[in-house]
Amino acid sequence: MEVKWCGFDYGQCIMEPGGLRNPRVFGDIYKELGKPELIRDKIFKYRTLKEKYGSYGRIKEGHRDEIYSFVLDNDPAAIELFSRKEQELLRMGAGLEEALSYLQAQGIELQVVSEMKKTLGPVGTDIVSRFLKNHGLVIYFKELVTPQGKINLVDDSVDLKYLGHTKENGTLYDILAQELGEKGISPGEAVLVGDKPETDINPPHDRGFKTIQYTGFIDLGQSKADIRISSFTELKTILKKKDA
Amino acid sequence: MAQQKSLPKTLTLTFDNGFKTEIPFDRLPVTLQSDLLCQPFASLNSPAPEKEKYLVLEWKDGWREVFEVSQECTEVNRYYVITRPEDSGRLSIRKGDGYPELIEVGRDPLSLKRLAFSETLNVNPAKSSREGNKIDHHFTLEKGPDLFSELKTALRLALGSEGVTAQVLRGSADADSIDLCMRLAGRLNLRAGRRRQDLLDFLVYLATDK
Repeated sequence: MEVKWCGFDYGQCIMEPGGLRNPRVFGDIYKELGKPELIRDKIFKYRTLKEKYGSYGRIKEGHRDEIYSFVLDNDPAAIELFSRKEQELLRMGAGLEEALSYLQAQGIELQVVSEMKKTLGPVGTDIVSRFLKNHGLVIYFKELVTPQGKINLVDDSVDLKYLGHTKENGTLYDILAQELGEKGISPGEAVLVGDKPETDINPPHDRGFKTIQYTGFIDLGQSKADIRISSFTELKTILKKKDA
Repeated sequence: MAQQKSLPKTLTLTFDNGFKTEIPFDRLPVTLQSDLLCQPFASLNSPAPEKEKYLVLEWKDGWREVFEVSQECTEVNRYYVITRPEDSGRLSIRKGDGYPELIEVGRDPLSLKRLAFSETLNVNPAKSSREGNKIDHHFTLEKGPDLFSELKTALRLALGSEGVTAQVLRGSADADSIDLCMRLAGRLNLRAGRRRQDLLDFLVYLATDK
């Protein structure tokens, strides 16, 4: 597959949350606070909250304040540690750096395209930007495209032309196609890599982008993807720079 | 009028040296409240069993279990099972009565580097063996440099940095002393594994020249 541009999804793709286990997160927090006796209770409360909202993802997306009040008793130190541990325990997808290094050496432009609907703090300090900075991925990704805007990871400036456009309704990819077009890159010369058919694969595929479904962390079933991969290292044999 | 279910008000512990401590029951962690109320000594008959709400589970082999649930429960939300291979560390220490003390290590157990008890031992991976879905990872324990000595030295430096002497660690239980102990422990990168008091006592132990 010959391309000039490659976009990566964030959650469960370049970022794998497998290390984010409750006994570890709350264990570390309350041992650090000198209250190890509370660990079991906090895990129990967080699991109770999961039953209220259905998944940890949903709690974090829309009910983060309840993690602070119901689980962490609005303790500022615990809240700060929760955010820190959350970052520390997120992992990179297997083989990601090797693949990014190859793609960059090929001269393929790289971007992160994330469905970050809710800003979890000032833009540029959000959970995605922090992950990319903390893991040294800013050498590969200078920009992060989100429904909050396009965030420049080097100077934290924000281009608002993507504001309100989402991956799910596909309009984010319309803006992306237009912006790539201004650089002389057509959707057929660009590829998106992601795990979720309904947001990462099918909408861009319908707009002429090439698509690769990453199943290394979770396989969310059939999609319109051109190719399925289970490890990022496979990108080294699949993708090549398309000459101008 | 239906009789209200009785709830405990306070928990009182009396130690064999005469020391007595008391806490309002609702200030205990929720899981501990539940554990205590499950104990036979704390289980009171319901004043109106016919008005309680019950959950019954039945298995394919005919086994059934019953749970009394809160009066506030209304309907079943969902049921699911998580199957996940867990890493669970088990560290046992020989004891005089022949029954070893078992310490369960839940924090990233495959990354344990060394342990210190009567001597300091480096933890080195040896072999892994699979039995069905279970894998046992075995480690060799090899004598290494004394971790307690390292911690004693580090504590002396930490006390110096805080501008205090080891005397302040002994016998103080006020909030300021505990804050100081937590700061000192932080400088040693040391936390309590199970109980904060273990950490506070250990700092005194380290500060005591032997």
